[in-house]
Amino acid sequence: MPNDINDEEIILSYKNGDEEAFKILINKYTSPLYNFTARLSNKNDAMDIVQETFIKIWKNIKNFDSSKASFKTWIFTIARNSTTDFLRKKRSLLFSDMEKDGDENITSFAENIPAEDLLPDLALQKLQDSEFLNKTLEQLRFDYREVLILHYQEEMTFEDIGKVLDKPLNTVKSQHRRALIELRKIISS
Amino acid sequence: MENNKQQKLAEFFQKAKYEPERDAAPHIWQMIITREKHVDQLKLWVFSVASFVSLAGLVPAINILLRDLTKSGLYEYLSLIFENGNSIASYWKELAFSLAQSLPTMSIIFTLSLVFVFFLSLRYVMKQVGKNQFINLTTLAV
Repeated sequence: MPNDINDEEIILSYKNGDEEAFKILINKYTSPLYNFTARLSNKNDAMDIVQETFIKIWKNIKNFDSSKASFKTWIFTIARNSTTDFLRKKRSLLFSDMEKDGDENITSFAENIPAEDLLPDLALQKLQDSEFLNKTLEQLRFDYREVLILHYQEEMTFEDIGKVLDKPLNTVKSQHRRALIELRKIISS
Repeated sequence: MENNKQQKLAEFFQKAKYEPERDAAPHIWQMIITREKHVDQLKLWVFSVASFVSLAGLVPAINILLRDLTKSGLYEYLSLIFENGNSIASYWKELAFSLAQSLPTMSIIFTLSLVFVFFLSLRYVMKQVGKNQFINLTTLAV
């Protein structure tokens, strides 16, 4: 199968009985899903979550409807749910972190910061260091982290992120803004 | 945030990506193959048992059905149809109603359900056996 073939064609091929087509999807998405889950949980547990995610994809791929969402959006939704389930089981995640949509204390502050000041040059410079970036991300709130990872690492639009996280577009945009402010705070401290 | 900064941040995120183990993708593929085989074997076993049980159940079910049909007088009605065609033409509604009333509904439903389960299970078992033979042939070919 040629490499430039898109996801929908691969899925169609799989649905038509080509079992090997699923292998192509695994090869293509193992690394992105690993990165996503490793950043939301940790490197040690990430591969288990990725495996669990692929099993869920394999079980449900015949129900995948490309008219509702892209395949990438769909699998990241599954990966995100698998990660939160895993963390819930391990009880290492504060439920309030995931469930509260509030952060009222920084709302007005966030709205008043001009867009160009969200991440100053100095902070951006520090983030050049990969290790520093990864450590900073680890300190970030779970829901902020997922928005930043999906937007900057997976290069998803805010609309697609909204689909993955099941949140309205404006909520995602505002969380992105707050995530950058939080990131700036962590860097400056 | 300006586009320039967003782009830079995206670059830093790409640079800081974690690398999964080299054999991660083949390992996941292998795990799925194993799981698929396991699920197929389980289904094959369940459907084989279901087809065997339904086939075994069909013997007494058919006996009961035949006995109930005899009791119901169905054969008398049928012989009437073949013996006296003229009266059937005049009283077909009454005869059809009596025939429907006398049928042993429960026995018929039970027997037909068993026939349905038997053929459904048999179809799956045959399909699975064919699939396994195909897999074995392709493995040999490779």
